[in-house]
Amino acid sequence: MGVPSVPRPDGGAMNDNEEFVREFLVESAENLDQLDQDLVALEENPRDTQRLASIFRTVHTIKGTSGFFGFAKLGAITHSGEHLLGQLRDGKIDLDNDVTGVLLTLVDAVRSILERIEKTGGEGESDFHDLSQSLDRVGFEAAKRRENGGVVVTRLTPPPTPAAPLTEPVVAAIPAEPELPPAAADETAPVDAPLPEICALAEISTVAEIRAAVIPDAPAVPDLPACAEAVEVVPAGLSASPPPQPATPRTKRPAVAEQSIRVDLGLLGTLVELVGELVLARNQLESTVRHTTAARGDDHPELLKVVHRIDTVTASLQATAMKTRMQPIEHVFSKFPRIVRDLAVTCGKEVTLEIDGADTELDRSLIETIRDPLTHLVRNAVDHGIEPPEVRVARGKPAAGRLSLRAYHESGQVMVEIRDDGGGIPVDAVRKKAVAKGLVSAEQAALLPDERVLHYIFEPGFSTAATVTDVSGRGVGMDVVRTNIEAIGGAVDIGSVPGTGTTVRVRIPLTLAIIPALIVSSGSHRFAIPQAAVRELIALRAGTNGAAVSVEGLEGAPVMRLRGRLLPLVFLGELLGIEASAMPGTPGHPPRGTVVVLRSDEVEYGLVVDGVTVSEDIVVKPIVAVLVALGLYAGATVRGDGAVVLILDPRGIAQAAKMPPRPALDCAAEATSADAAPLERYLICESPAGRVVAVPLEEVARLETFPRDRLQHAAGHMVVHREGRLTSIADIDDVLAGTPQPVDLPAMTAVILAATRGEVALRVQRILEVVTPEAPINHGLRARGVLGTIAVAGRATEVIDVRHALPGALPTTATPGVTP
Amino acid sequence: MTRAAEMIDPGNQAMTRRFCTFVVAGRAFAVDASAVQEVFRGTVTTPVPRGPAAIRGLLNLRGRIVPAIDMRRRMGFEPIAGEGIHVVLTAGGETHSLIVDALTDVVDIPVALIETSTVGAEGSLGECIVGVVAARDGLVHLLGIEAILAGLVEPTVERKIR
Repeated sequence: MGVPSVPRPDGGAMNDNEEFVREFLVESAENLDQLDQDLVALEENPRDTQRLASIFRTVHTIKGTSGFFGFAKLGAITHSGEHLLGQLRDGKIDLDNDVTGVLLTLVDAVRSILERIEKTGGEGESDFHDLSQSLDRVGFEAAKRRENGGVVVTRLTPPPTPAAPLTEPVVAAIPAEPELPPAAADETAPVDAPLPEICALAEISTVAEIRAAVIPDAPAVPDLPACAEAVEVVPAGLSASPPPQPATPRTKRPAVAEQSIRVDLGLLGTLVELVGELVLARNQLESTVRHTTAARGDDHPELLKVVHRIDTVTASLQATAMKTRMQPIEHVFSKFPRIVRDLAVTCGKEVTLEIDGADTELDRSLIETIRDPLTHLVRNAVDHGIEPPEVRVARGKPAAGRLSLRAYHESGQVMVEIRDDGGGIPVDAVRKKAVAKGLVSAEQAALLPDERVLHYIFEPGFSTAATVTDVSGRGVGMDVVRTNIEAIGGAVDIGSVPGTGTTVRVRIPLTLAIIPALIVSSGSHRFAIPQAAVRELIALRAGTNGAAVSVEGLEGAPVMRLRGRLLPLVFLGELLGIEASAMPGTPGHPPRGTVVVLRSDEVEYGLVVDGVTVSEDIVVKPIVAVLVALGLYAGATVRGDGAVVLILDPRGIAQAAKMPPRPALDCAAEATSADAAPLERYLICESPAGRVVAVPLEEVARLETFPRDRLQHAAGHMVVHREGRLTSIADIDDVLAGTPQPVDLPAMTAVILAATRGEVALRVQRILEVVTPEAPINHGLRARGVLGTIAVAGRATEVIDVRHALPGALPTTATPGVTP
Repeated sequence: MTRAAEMIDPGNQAMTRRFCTFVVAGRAFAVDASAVQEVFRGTVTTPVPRGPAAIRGLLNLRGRIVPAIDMRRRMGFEPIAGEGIHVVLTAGGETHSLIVDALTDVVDIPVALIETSTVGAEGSLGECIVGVVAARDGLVHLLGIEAILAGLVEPTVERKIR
């Protein structure tokens, strides 16, 4: 956000105050964003008194300052708003939809007046009288409802403290005062003002006091002395206040504001560049000094000391300068609670918004670029994704839809995931539309896997929405979303399961992002590997004690046994044509190197390097298109000593090394119908031996619990008598080549698998949940009975290969004769 | 840098473009001077494994990562090791450096004198050339950065596929 400039109005008192008005505008703009969030959050948790107090304080501050600058309209509406908030805080009314709605309207009105002031210096002609009235009316009606309803709300606010002389003066400074209905005036009676208001007053009076001191010829505010006195009253009041409410950490904002200043972006850019030059000059200085001292044969310790000091200072200066350009993605996310809330009300939906990873940092310029596309995706999710409450309930979902926003660093890129649990995208409708629009022939369309079909929604003018709503018809379509994201070198992926929900993933390049990375060596080369992709490091050594790691060949491809699983290996030196010391090892020559276990959504493998130098934060720099096209490097970075180091792209390397296929959710994937399984659902269960495993939901017919006495043993195999026939039981631990546990409970839980060769009951300890993993199954790692792995809540979970549970697959299963 | 344009006949004064001239393998070449950001002598520290053969490596230019293209290699001449003169060009939002043998001059060339009929020749030398100017002491070949980059990728891809 740039510093808004206040054009000089046609003379008047504004001129003297211009600086202060500007400051007020900037401050207020931030406060308003915060208000949006706070109000929506308050709606969720109306008893959050700290948050309410913070809202009250913000509105109060704007009111007070507008009075000081003589912005009458602003003063009037914020006064009404403050009154309503006061009622709320004092527990006289409850926070309902009406109240939140009118308060949000207030925020919008304040914002529009501030914008007007910013542009013209004046408040403009718009009349906000209606708003003031509805603020008062809503308060009045809510109070009535409250009386009639007889609901008792426990008051969390401390008992009122007499503060008689404090509230009056500021209120009196607002010209709009006489317009208030008499009832309202009664309720602002000073006796009722509890502590937060006193604090608020103290705050504003401090500001006023400072201003008064700085601008002696400022417009007279007769009440200033009275306000100023409040400063002295506050400490006493505070000491009497109850211990702080533990629930809300929100109140840290003011302190943060005091610790930051606004800097022009161009200036920051110049600073970063200059620091870069300094680094180079430092390097030159070092080498010159080294050469000179060596040539003269005297190693001038004083000079070396100075050079060393310049070296360390430059390094930290560089690191610090780079960080100045980073901002948390929160700057985009912070708008969403309000947007989602408003939209949900408009569309008649209930939506719970979950935000995760708001502190993920990315370059400020990117933040601006992704704002609109992300907003559009969020709007889409609420408007088209999440069903109306009655539909949801009919479908057996909770009435409130869930929209989750998640940002995280992955493989050195910033990923933003927008996920809803709505109706999903009707793939067949998209398929038809694509054919109708001539994008694909009917025959081809029929063969296309679903996730490929979904990508047609990114085509210009593509919309399957039955009705063009007010929300979606805003000019920015999915094609614009994709164009905008691709313009910054990012990508958009979409996955959707009809009836279950839609996940859109936006991959934002890491241009300038600061990421933790591992610096590795291969031969004489150094590379950086994004730490986010690194799972663990393992040294390859000779098998001296039998427990050491060894490399095996599997059809020519080296693999490593890692905790019972096979990890495919890629030797970096070999891949890049570098003479490296890491090697698979041959008879007589033990393997050498360090295995960096890399995992992204799609692949898991071990990258074998010569050694790991250090782990450090790096600033990612873009590389030219010619080098990006190699598909091996995600960028480059300049290390502390000025050396350029290429950043490896774990995904690209897996591709270059022809790792097992990467299925789905990536537009680049050559999806065939065989691996067309986007966002499958899995039943997560715990085995009797305590292993958490996943069973593909489509294989599951039913879940059943059998009493122990229905279990029978037939020739050493366990079977269950159900529905008049015997069904064989496969023990999940047995399928996974583990040790089956004895049946020690009075009942046994089983997952009945529907298979063409007959039903089989898979014995589990308990059923945990049904999940749709964020990423498709990773087939890269198989073992007996394991089809692959999926990530469930960040944990790798093995997916059962049900074929191993079928009759005949296991020695313990019943003979085919017992099943029909 | 002096601006003695003696190398080129003045000719038609109406429209001129400024070029930066340099020598590679004994021949005279030129690039549009408006794209030239700076010229310096130096070495490249970071090679790019599996990158185009003509890219000698990456430079750190005040925090900016710039690939250095060895023009001898790119145009099919015998490469020489060691330091080179870097002519840093910015075009199309990207910055590249051309490693040349020696910098000659900065000259204003009348547009009318630029011969483009032979442009589009085959081969690694021909494909880099976007124009020719007859100077007093021989031909000056005008190089286009897009042309240089385009040819950089293709052969590399083939080589990579093995």
